Amino acid sequence: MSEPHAHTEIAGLTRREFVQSAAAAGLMVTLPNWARAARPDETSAEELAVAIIGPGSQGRFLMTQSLKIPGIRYVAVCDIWPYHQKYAANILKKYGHNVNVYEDYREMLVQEQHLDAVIVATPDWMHAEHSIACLEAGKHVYCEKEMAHTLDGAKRMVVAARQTGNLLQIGHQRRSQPRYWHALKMIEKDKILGRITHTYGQWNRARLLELGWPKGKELAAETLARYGYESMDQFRNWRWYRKYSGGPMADLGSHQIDIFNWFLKAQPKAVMANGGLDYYTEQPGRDWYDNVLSIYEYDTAAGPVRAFYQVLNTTSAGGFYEQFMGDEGTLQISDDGKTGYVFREVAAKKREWEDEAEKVEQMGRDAIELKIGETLSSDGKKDPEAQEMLEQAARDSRVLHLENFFNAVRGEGELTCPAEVAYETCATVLKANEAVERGCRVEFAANEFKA
Amino acid sequence: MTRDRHVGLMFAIGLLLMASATTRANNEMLEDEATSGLLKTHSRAPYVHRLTLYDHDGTAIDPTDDFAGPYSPRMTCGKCHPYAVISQGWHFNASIPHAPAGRPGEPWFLIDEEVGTQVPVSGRGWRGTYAPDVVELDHWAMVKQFGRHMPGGGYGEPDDEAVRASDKVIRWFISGKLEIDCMFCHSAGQQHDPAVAAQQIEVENFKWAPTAALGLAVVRGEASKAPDDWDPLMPPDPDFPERSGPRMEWDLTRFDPDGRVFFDITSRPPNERCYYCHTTQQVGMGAAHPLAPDQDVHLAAGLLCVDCHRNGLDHRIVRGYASEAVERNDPDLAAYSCAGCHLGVPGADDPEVVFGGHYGAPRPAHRGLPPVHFEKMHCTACHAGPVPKSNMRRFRTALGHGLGLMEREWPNSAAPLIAGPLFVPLADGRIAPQHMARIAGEVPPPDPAPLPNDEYTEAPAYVWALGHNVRPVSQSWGINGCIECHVQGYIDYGKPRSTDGLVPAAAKTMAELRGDDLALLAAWDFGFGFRSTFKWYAFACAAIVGLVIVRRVGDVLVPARAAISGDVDTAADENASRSSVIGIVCWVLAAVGFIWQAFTGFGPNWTAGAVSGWPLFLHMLGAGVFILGLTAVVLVAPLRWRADGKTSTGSRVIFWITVVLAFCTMMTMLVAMLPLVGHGGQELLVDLHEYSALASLVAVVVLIGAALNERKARR
Repeated sequence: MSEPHAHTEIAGLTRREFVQSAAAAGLMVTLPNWARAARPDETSAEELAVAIIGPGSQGRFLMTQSLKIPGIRYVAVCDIWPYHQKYAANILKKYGHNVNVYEDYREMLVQEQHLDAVIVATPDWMHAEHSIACLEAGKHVYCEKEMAHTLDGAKRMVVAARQTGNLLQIGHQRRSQPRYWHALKMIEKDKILGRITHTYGQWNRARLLELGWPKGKELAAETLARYGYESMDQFRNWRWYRKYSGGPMADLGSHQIDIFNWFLKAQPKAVMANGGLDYYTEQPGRDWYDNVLSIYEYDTAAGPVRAFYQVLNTTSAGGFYEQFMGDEGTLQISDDGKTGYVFREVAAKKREWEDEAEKVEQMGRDAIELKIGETLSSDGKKDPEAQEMLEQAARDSRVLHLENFFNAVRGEGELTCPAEVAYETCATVLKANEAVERGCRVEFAANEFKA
Repeated sequence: MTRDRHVGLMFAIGLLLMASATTRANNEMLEDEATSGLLKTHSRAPYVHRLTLYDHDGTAIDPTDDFAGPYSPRMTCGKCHPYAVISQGWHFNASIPHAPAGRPGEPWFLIDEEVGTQVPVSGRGWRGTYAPDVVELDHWAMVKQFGRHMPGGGYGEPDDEAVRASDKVIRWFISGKLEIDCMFCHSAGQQHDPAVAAQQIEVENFKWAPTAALGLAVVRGEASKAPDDWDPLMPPDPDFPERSGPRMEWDLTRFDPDGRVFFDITSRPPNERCYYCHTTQQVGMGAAHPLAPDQDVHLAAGLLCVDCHRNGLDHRIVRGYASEAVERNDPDLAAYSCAGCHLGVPGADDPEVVFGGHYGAPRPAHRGLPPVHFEKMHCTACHAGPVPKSNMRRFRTALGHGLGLMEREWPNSAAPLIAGPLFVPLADGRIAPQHMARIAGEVPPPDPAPLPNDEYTEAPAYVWALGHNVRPVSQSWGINGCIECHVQGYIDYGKPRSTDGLVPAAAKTMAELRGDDLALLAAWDFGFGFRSTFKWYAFACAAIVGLVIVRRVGDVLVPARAAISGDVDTAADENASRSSVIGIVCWVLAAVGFIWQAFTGFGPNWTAGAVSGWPLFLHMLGAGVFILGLTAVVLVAPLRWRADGKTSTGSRVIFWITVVLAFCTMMTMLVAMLPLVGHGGQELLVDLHEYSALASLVAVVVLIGAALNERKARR
């Protein structure tokens, strides 16, 4: 592809300017076209040459899911571990994609000049290096979150995207999920929660086991050293090391704190947090917290909001979800594909449509199930826009997010999580780690959310 | 045996002989090619299989490695056995387009009891079955539906093209291929548990199934719940533990210090291995008493299933039906059909095939059984399956009902509804007992129709062979005489009606189904009521004729002696007028009987090539008149000659020759009615009957000519 998104300027605005201005004007509540659009026609979709750097567990998911998108052809995979190289190439071969395999991304970028886009799913600490190299090589990039484990790295990514004019989508996939868009519309347009005063989010997951590797498949010590790892354990369990990762707050929390920022239309002004490495103490060298409990303070247009977020790695109690609590109701939503409820306050003025709405019992209370296409609007009718999104909403958010990226590469629509947006989240999340470290309330600088 | 059968048999034998040498040479060549370079012992002593296990990538398995994959039969067993050749074998080739299908066999049944769907499914193209793609079952769906009784391979191992064409690319990648699990059949004992394999297949742990079934490892987790991005190196998903995918815990006690595993293997699979997939059980009304069913008589004699259902390296199992040798262009296979083994294959190239008698198979005499039975029926009609009753029975089968898997409730009414025995003609026109299952569901009617007469079941039905259990001789149908079958209501083996909905109440009888002439059947039934009486009568007449022949042999020359000596019997003149009336009656009776038999015998034989149907019945009916006429004329003719003294010696000689030939014609059939002569003897008697009858005909013509000449001379 040449000049992939030259025509994405809208009425004299660049795409980013449009996104920013639209968000500022509250237009983002209006559902984007992609959410309603049917999937691209298989026969008409323009073929995109794609490579992946880092086809590990998450990378392979992105890879296999993107294969369901018409017009995607993988031409290369890149990983320093031959096991991953072979595994990914094997999967692609099953789909009829014969790919070139690389150990070094630089060689791949030299050899694969015709690439249109690259998926970066390497450990967090390499996101900046890989993404920037790809952007500078003229490729569009889909990079897994957290976009970087340092704010500096994230900033350089935003700048690279801006300077090269190439697309950089960060993997906060909830932003491409129509269910979240529908919930946001209910909050903003239908005012179903009244005034939001608090939010809550959690990602509790069961006790983690170490990631291992098959006997005889270890990387050689010199190879590990060449790529910045001291051991196979570091390479496989990089999420627990500060030099490779932003820790559980970045790894998991960034998904949900991103939703706080998005739904509240604001960035926090301060955060206080507590946490530590309390449980996984037997593995030497690991230094990231295994639990963090944080409170963000927002000043929104409607008033102050306090947002509590916790990430625990020792219990799956409650799983993962986000809650927005207002004086007329509470919204509970999750990207698990199932959870989506509105709990109306008994004292809230009853909407005309409430009696008709389908209710389920949740936590001992009646809840209105958040069903795309079925939840009634304030006018008592089924939301026609929501009904259009029904098919899309049933799909995995990550697939939708990829589809959004590839559509944008083809010049069809805008990115839902461009680098600037993800940068705000990155700044928000990394500050919590700092708050834990310092053991005090930490305030954000006014310009801290802009790269 | 009819003339056509003679010609057809000779032609077939000729073709088979020509094909025999070529086929055997080809088989040997293929086997040599397939095993070229592979390790072999060529000993009858079994090789002790103490093996290193290899995973699906061909990597030797170290059970102490947390990430060691399940063992791959292709990579492990395939080190020494030609997997590619074996995968073309009978148990694995149903998914291969245009693979030899052979006689219709038991299909899979696509069942939905709620909406009443019962559709026979097979990739073999058997008449009346539906191809999997017609009922929207791809390879994945076939394995999911029926993998519980698949030994792997075939549908479980689609090629890359088939995988890509499906919407299950990544699921195949996660679940792996369901490779041929050699131990499914070749486990010498109970080391391998096919039910465990079925459990693994149900949760889509395809490539783990052989390992789990062999008990080499305990497999936890389900590929069916693993997400598309499942990573075998990842620990259980902390957010969704149930999505963790399969993981294994090896039984380290099964590995020797060098990491090898002992496989208890046999090349002659025990019957119990076969039974997992090939169990058939009568249930419901009319089923045999729980204590009644015996083993198949062959198994009771110590044989294994595989002693008849043999295979070579190509794993093309001998199914053992009559036309298999011709269909597979391998004359030697005829030795393993019922008839081939018990009667031998005349004219075969290999003497062992000519002799038959494998494993000491007895040669049945079939004494007193007219050869027409062998032309009309397969061996199984009398020897296999449950003894026919007036109603069909319901069956449960392993493939149809999932026998072999543990359940608490086994309702007799569970679908598929399989009934039997249904006696219908096969492609060769001979009747054999069959299983039957109606076809129901939103599917187009099968084309061509699976049964000769679709009105039979109102809904179309699929039928397939009912070959087991083979009953002992003492329980053979007809062992107690002809009337066991040939009485009213039994010749058609009853009306296959049933009270549990197997077939509509208005179903026709099997005779109607076959298109038999019901009036003719009724006539036969009526006739067989007099069979015993007829035998007494016929043998009495035969005794008289025989005695007269003996007595009168000397009399042939009496008139000549009288003429020389002038000794004329004057008393004869007194009786002449009285005996002439009786004599005329006798001669007329004999003439009528003879002409009747000649027309009903030679007529159809010369015009249609065989005597059957109504002509045969009329021929049998005329036999009584013929015998009576012959007896009478034998008694009166000498009296007449003595009375008129004008009959020449030549005429007398011709007369007695004719009588002897007619006597032979009569006796060949009368002897055949006694339980004295076996299968070959019966055919010989039929041939002698035809030849003596023909000779009789010639003799009668000569006799008439001689009589006319004498009369003319006297005038």
